[in-house]
Formats: sequence, structure tokens, C-alpha cells
Amino acid sequence: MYGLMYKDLAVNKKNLLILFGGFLLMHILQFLGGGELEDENTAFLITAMSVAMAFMISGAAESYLFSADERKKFAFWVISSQTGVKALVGAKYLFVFALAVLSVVLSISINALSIDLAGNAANSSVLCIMLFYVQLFLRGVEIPFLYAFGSKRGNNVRAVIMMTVALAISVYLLFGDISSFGSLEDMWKRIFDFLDTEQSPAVIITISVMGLSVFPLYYLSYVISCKVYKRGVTSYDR
Amino acid sequence: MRMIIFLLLSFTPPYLFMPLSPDDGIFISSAFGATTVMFYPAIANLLTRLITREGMGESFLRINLRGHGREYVLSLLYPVLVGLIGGVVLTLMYTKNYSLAAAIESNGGGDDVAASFLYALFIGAGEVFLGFGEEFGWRAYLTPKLEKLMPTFPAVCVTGVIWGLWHAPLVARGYDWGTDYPFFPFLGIISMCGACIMLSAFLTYLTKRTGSVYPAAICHTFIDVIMALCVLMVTGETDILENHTYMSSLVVMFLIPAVFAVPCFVYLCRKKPLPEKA
Repeated sequence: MYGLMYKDLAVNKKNLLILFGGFLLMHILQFLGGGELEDENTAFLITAMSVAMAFMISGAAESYLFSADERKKFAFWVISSQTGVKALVGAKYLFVFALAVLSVVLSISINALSIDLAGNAANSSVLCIMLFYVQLFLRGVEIPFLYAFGSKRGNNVRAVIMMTVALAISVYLLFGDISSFGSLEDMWKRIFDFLDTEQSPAVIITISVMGLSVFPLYYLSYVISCKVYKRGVTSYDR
Repeated sequence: MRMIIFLLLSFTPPYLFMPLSPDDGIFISSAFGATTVMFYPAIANLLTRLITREGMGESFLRINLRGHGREYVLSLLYPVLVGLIGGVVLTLMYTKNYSLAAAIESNGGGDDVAASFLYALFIGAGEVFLGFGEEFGWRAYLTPKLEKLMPTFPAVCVTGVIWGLWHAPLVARGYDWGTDYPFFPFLGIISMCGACIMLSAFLTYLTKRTGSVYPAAICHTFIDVIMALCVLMVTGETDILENHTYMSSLVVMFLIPAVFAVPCFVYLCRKKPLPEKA
């Protein structure tokens, strides 16, 4: 299994480097303005936006890992090999997990550096940890689709789901009650306040349970992916 | 030679960060220093391997979950158990007319206690890389290297002493042991070395049993995140931890772990060091 992880690293090295370059570039946004940022809301906005965009890029890097293996010959070899489908799928899940952890480590470290150098950048450690859980959850949902339908069709299915969610949010933003959101800048500050300050026990318990339940769900996703792998092989072009 | 390079690389950053930062209590004033200080033993491990062209043999990076589920569960239970037992001992030492209900009430009630515990788990699980940073250096590199020079028992003790000395700049600022004790900070540093030996026994046990550094990393992270919380759960929001910081740490970080360390030392001394499978 660890050999397969090394294979993933070797095959996707260039693309991963490019995407992580983008990831780091996003974080550099936090240094912009430096000590000139007097408005606290702007600091929150810039930090949150850069962290969120960086995590989107690392999410793209994680999703990218799957297309390289989509060859029938390789897939049938994997199925017939001693370690089998479980090792291949397990290696992918571990690799994605490692990338997610690396994203958090880098994000928190760069954020800390920007606090030291830029002075008033907002502390985004809790936000990064939240995004780590969100990222794992999204990959947990996405990967079985990628294996069941191949990355081409799997991405289409994912796009349809994302567009449906985006549409629902847009409809709410157009016709629903958005007075509680206030301005965009206020919203990010309130998100940071929400993450940092004391909340009611019910809210904390809900967030914590939702976050911690990502691990069993991620494992469940792995089990499902193992089951649907063979079905997905037939949809490969080559 | 490898060990000297490793120790130089792991000791330089914390010793650099602390004296360079202004004296503002127990915290490192540099956010970057405070965030990354736990990574340096892991970075030292990787750099030493790179510099000395050692390769990645005996890296303990395999997960080895199959057949070792018990150790992974133990890595989660240990900080909770040590914290709870430590809380009970401290209560017996310092509190008269104790009531668990009153202790829970002083923590904000059952809901607040459950929320704090779950939130600590939530944050701890997302920050396991911090524990990994230290364990990948101490348990996955230093102890195996020392075991090549001496038997396991002294190797674990020497690792503990080195680990304790690594914390010395923090202890000198009152971290963990406070400042209100005789011979400050020297007694604190010696106590930290003792505590690290006891904790090292259990963490080395986990690493050896599983052939993996991850249970120790999980355990280390939850020792940092959850143990004090468990003590508070039992003692309540009393002044025990504030007024008797040194004794509290001695009980929770040395005495209780010492009880757990005995069977671990017995196991470690019986087991011959085995190289990790390639």
C-alpha cells in the first residue's frame, strides 16, 4: 500500500507542486497590506478569503489524484494483484488525508508568520481546522463517485450537486431573509468571533460531533469506494 | 554523530525562540515560534536523515492499525484516565467537603463539561500533527538510536531527560510548573525531566507495540489538549491548579504517569528491540 502511495506521489509530482504553489500563493494574500491594515474587518476578510481559497486549491490537488489511474489495464492488474483493490483505494484515501493534514500544517504556520510579520492578520487556526474537516467530508463524498463513474462522469455528477447547492443558496440570498448576514466584511468577522468566542454548549456539541463524525464517514466512504471500484472500471475510456 | 546533528537541530529553535522573545509570561511572543515549535524534532529527524544520507529505514511511519486497535484506543484513553485520576488525587489532597455535583456545577454544568470535552477532542483530532511533530523526533528517531548504544530502560530514561531539557526554556517561563516553588526554575526543569521519563515510557510502549509513531502522536496531542481539562472536570473551578501549580503538575504529570510507566517499563525491558519491517 505504501508503495502505491509513493507511486501516486511520483506520478502526480509536477501537478501537485503546481497546485501547492497556487496554495502558497493564496496564503501570500495575508501579507498584503501588512501593518497598514487598520480596519480589523478587512484583516478578517483577507485572512479568511486567502485561507478559504488556499483550501479550495488543495482540494483540487486531492481530486486530481484519481484521473492518472484510469486505465483498464492498470485497473484489472490491481484487481488481480495480491493486495487488491483495498490497497489501491486505501492508498488514495491515505494520500488525500496526508494532503489535507499538510494543508492545515502549512496554513496554520503561514498564518502565524503573517501575524508576526504583517502585524494585524487574524488568527485563523480554528478556521483551518474547520476547513480540514470540511475538506475531508467533501472528499469522502466525492471519491466514491469518482470510482463509481470515472473521474469524467464523477466530476459531472459532482458539478451537478454543487450547482444545485449553489442554486439553492442563490435563491435564498435573492428571496430569503439575509438581514442577519450584514455586510460581507462583518460576516467574516462574525465567523471568526463565532469560532473563537464562547458559544452555547449545544452549538459547541453540534459542531464537535459533526466534525468528529467526519472520520467514521471517511472510513465508510473508503468501504463504499472499494465496493464500487470494479463497476467504475468499465467506464474508463482507455 | 547522527544523534548530535539531530539534537542540535531539534534544540536550536526552541532555545532561540525563547531568549529572543520578550518576557511576556509563559507564552512565546512570536506566533510562528509558538505554532511551529513542536515540529522541530520531526524536521530534525528528516534533516538528519537527509544530511547523513541515512534513508527512511526504521521511520515508524506505517500505520499498522490491523491487530493494534487496542493500542490506538489506549492512546486516546491514557490522557483521559491520567487526568481523571490526577483530579481525584488532587481533590483528596486539597479539598474538604467535596461534591462531584458541585464540581460539575462550578464548571458550568453537565452541558458545559460535555461541550468542553467534545470541543477539545474536535480540536485535538485536527491538531494531531503537533503531537506527531515531537513524537517523530523523540520516539521514532532518538529512542531507537539510543537503544543501539544502551539497553531499552536507560534509553527511554535518557530520551525522557533530553525531552525534558528541550522543554527547559518554557519551564523557565513558568510553563506547566508555575514559578512559585523553591529553586525556580531548576527544580521545575528536573521535575519536567522526571515527568518526561514517565510519559516517555508509555509513549515508547505504544510505538514499540505498534511499530508506528501515530498512536504516540495521538496520545501526545491529547495529553496536551485534554489532560488538564479532565483534571478540571473532577476538581471543579477551584483554585487548586492556580495556587498549587507545582504540586498539581507533579501529581498529574509525574506520579500518576509513574504508575502507568511501571508495566510499560517491564514490557519494554522484556522485549528485544526489533527492526521495523522494510
